[in-house]
Amino acid sequence: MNMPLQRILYVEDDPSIQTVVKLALELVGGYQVEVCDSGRAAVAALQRFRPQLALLDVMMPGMDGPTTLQHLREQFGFERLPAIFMTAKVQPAEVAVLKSQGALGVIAKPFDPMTLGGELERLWSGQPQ
Amino acid sequence: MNELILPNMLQSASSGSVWRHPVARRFLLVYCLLAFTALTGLAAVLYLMRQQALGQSERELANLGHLLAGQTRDMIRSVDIVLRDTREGLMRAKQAGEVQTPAYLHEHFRQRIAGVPQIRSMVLTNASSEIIGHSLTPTPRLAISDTSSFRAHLLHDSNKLHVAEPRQSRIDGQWGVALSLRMEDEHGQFDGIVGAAIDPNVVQQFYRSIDLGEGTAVSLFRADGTLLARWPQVANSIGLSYSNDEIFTQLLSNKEQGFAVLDSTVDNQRRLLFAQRVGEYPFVIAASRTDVATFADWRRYATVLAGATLLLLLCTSWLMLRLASQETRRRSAEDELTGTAQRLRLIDLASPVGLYVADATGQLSYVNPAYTQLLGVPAVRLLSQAWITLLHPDDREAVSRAWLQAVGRGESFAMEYRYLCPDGRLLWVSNRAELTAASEGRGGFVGSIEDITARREREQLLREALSLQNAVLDGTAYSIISTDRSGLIRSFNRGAEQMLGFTAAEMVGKATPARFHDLQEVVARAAVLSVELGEPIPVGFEVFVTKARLEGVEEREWSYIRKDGRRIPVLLSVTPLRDELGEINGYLGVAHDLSEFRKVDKLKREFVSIVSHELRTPLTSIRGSLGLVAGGIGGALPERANELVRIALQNAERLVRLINDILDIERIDAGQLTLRAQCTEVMPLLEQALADNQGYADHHGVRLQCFGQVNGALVEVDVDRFGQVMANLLSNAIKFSHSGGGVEVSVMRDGTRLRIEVCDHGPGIAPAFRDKLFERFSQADSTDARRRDGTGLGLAICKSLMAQMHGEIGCDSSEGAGSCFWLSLPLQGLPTGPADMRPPSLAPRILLLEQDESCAAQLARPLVEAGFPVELVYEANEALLRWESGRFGVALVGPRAVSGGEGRLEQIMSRDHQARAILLLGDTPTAMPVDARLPWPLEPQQLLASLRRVLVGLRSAQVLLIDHDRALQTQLGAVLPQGVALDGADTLTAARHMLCCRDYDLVLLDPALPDGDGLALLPLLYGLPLRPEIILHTSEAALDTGLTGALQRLPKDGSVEAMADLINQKLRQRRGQEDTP
Repeated sequence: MNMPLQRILYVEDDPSIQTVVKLALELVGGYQVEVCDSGRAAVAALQRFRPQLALLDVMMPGMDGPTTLQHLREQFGFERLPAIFMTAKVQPAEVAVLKSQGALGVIAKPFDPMTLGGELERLWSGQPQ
Repeated sequence: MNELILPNMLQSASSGSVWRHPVARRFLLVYCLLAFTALTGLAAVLYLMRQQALGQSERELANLGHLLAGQTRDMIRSVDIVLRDTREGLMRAKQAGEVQTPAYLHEHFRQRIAGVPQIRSMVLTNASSEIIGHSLTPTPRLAISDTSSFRAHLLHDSNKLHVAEPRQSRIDGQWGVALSLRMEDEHGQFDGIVGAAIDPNVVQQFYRSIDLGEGTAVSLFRADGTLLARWPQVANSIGLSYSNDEIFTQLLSNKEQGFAVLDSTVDNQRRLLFAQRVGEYPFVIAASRTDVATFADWRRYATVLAGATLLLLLCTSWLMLRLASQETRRRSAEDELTGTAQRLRLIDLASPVGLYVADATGQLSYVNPAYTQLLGVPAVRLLSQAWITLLHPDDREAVSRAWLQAVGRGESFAMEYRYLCPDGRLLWVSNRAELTAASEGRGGFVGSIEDITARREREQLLREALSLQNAVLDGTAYSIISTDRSGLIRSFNRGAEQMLGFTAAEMVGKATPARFHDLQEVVARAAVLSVELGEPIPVGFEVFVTKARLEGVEEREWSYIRKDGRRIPVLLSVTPLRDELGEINGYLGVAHDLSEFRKVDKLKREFVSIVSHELRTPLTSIRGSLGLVAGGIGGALPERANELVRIALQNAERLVRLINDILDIERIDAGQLTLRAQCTEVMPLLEQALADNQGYADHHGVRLQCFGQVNGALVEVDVDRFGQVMANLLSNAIKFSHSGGGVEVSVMRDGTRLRIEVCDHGPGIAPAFRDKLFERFSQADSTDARRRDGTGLGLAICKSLMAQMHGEIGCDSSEGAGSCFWLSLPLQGLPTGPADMRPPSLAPRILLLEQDESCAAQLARPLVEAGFPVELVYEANEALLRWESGRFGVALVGPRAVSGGEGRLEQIMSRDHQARAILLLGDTPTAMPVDARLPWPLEPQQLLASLRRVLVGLRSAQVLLIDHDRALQTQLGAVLPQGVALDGADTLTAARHMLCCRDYDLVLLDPALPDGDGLALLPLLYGLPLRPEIILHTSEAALDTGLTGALQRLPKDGSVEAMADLINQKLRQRRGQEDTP
């Protein structure tokens, strides 16, 4: 069994959504959340924060979510960093593509902030041991 | 006219029918009377002439007879007188006693006969018949007692002259007739006879001296019939008795003279004869003339006369024939002329065509009533005015020129032009005139004018219509193609040329629409039509037109394949073309290029997708913030604020659903909503759907209940989309239920289908609305604000989704008693199912290169029916383009594929030949490394078998173990070699699921399964495109049903290794080294 989920690296370019997610995860879920507003910032924060899970927006300027994940996993010790994507594009084909890139799951936007933590827990616990 | 009639007349005259004409018969009658009269006259004349000739002869003969009789009597009388004188003288002398010496007597007699030349001699006898005196010296010493004269005088005391029969004189040997008298003494006693011999020659010489004429004879008979003299002479006739002759027996029996026509006994000729007694003497004179002589002249005349008459008759008959013939001809010609004239008069009056006679200048000298009616101008005016002035001004010059040209060249005149009638009408006429024979130096015309205004108007309309049609055909972007009944292209417009890249010259009369259709689409459509119509529809032109023929028009989307291989989506509308009898004689296909439409559609879709995404991002914040506030993260809110936040949250969620629905609808419209259909057991899906909606139901205080159980029932659905449909129905039912009410979900089998019902006890649906229920943005009661949190798109989406999953959706409802929505899906894993209902095949796509259309169809059909996706190309270059797209697993090169393509195919194959196969049909020589070379022609089964064998060689072997013992799978997996993938299924349901999802090379089947008999899988197995090898893994011996007879058996008690060996052996066989039985 894994460590309980505590530290989540959250990458999102939209400040409003950042706020909502941070509130939802910290206040409702009780997690420790590091918010980065770009892939570059996330890579920078990785070694310092050492997250257990990356929660990534897909469509971001500069570096998109899958690329960010690729970069994160290039870092030493994070080769198998679990990740969950959040996206407004929820067509089955798109979801399948994202899942094929090694994500635990995909959370559709908009989401219910009150159940977001529970959803993360569910996906976290379903990952391979 | 004469020239026309005469040949007919000649013909009828020669065939004898000239006598049918009454004139000719009259001629014949008159001629016959004439000929009869002439012949009768001739006969009468001849008769009269003959009588006359007869009379003439009679007269001549009578005269001759009288003359000769008179002359003969005189001659005899002179002899008689000489004798009587002599007798008297002698008797007196004797009485006087004179001695009568022979010399005296001799002298006496000589004196007596001097001057009587007819007496040749005289004789005197005594009573004892001794000659005592004779005119000759010396006096012969003879007794003539034996003579008839002596005996007649001795016996008869008569003083009459006796005539003896002619006899030869015993004295001088000459012929003579003795005349004698009796001598008496003074006592009157017989005293001898005195006689004189008459010389017949003297008589004959006398007869000779008379010109008797031709054929005339004169005879002198003694009265008893003895012939004394005759001229002309007849040998040996003198002295003979002709007493039996008709002269003596009849003619002179009691008459002195008479005529007779008799056959002469003298010379045996038929004669006219006149006989007369010679006075008082016993002589008969006969003058006769032969018939020939009698009628010689008559005959001559008669011959001449008859000849002349006959000649006359012949001449007159010839003349009569000529006359009759001529007269008949003349009369017939007259009749004909009369008839013709009458007909011409009638035609002239009745003709709708205007007829006229004009001179060379165009001046009319005659017009018929139709002419004046056509122009609406009185005849008087037409005849007094040059008709050219009535013409339409624009036509005058041309007509005038043409007329003068016709006159100049002596040709007929024919022209179409316009009259401008006085009443303002424009009259189109066709004027045709023939030149008549030149009279008085210049020819004229006889002609007709025909009203062709209506025809001209029709032609004008037709020209306009044709020009419009051409403009439409050439100007349109639509591809418009017409074909004959068999599909051969008859017209190919510019739009079609542009759309397809073929030129009309390449297609018209040479190809059928199959040339640019996607064969696979055609084959698939043929299968669907065959099922729909219940009769086999052949792959070919019939596929395009059968529906159109039955329903008048068929509109359907197809793919056209351009000459360069590019596909174009088109909307094709096919209409039958009919002839005037209503029989179909062709078809018209109008196709609209949907590419632009699709492009725009794609843009729209992308736009909708982007907009949706862009809407979602702010909505995420709103939804999230509201959610947090409503969740109390920002602290407790006053109740009113809480209520407002709740409303805002609900509507934010509704907005999200709306965006999702719009996205779905948009994808459905575009046909882009791809479903990942899979064989699934239905019960778990239903349970999941109920669970998902339990929260919503709890929230509304509605109880969800499920009825029915269909264990093991398989459906082929996209699991997520099925959930979406169920959620929609359930949420609707919950939403429209009263709090505390219930929603019942029932599931049941319905033949070969599965039926799911979701029923509520809400207000129901008004019948008027029920039809619109599945339309977009429709909600039953738009005033019921409390209920309105749907988007109005849900049921429309459900309908589309169900249709894509080969299912149906519907609603039974009665207002006030709740609604019942139902779903119906085909059950899977059943042995029967049309070919086109099979799941999307996992089999590789086949590129078929074949130039010949029918051959291509023959090849493609079995492949498509076996479940292989097939694309057909006709040209090698095009084939290469498509092959490079990488979508194909197999290239099938047909027996009549265009040469030149194999080499390039070979290049492609050498570059990229992994998991790709090339099959070559026929004996085309090529260096291409083909995977299989197959003979042609080939049975469809052989083609499929070869194809399967090649295909299974291209990938790793897949084995499915169907056995209730799960442990066996693990054990078997451990002993099977690398490269053989093993799947397991421990129930019938799972096995069905697996077979729907993957193609297997080999299936190991233990029929004893917990949820049913495994043999039920056999039909499914046999129907798979790549039919797997099957091994029955069973200990039961009693499994010999029809289905299992030929299957490989494997006893249950064998080792796992033996099992693996058999599997390996079977797989090797399948990979093509040996053909599997």
